[in-house]
Amino acid sequence: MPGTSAAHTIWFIAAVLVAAVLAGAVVGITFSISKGLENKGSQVEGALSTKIKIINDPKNVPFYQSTNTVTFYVENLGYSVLNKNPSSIVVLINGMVAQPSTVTLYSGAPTWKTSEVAIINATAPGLSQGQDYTLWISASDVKTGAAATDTMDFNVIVN
Amino acid sequence: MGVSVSAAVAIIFSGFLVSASIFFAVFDSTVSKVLDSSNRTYDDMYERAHTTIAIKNATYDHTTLTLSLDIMNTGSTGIDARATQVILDGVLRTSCVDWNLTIIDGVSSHVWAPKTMLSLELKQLTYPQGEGPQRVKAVTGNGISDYTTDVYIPP
Repeated sequence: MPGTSAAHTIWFIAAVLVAAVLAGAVVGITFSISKGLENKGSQVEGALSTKIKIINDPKNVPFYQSTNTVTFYVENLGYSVLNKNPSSIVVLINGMVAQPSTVTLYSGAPTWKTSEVAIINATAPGLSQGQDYTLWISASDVKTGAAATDTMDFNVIVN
Repeated sequence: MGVSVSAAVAIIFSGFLVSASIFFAVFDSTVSKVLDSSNRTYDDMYERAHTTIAIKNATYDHTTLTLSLDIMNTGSTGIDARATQVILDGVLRTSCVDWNLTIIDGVSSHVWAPKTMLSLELKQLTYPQGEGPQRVKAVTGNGISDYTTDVYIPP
């Protein structure tokens, strides 16, 4: 009889241990899936909330020959705050990188919120009047990192 | 044996319950966040599709160094007049707008309703005698714009 009781105890402990391991695995997998879903949801939310528009006059984009800088006006049309650090903004002119040197907000506000226009000065040597150029700008959400892009064909006015 | 099976089933069932509650909470908040963003995006698209403006008059006065603009809301949505940007010959000049003189259909206001005229005055603009801005672009807060090259300069 003592042998049977010991066997029952061992069975009980083994069953509880196996069940606990299984339950733990199920909770762990669900937690991991939930985390992934939450991250993906934040990415989709960021992508939907982030939008920019280049509002320059495409016929007269200011180009300053003395400093080789071209000035773009970009409005935040989304609901997120955008990163105004020049290194986080990508400017391509005819597919070539034009590194933004300064990014300032026209209103002087501290953050690039909805409806705020940023003045982006980018270094682009050799632009000339009468030539057609294609601009591509990307700016990202401060919180989620979601990027918004806009493009425009333009001519410069040399100052 | 019976007690062992019952205990194991109870533990596994508890695990499923905890998992379901974690998953439901995350799923619910994620879906509502995405739906909220999606609804706002569609609202914005609808608003943009129904926003149009037309610059009806642009006059540059050399004596007061002022450019007066009359812009009609020709769309079917209301616009916040204070979010309007003005670009003259490629350069953003919104800082020259005297927002205290913003008039909509003769009344001092910022609510720019459909079929009403926004009158703006841009101060301290210096041009050589007989000249003025050649290309004027007005942009609404939601990115809709209109141009004019027809700037009247009184003799």
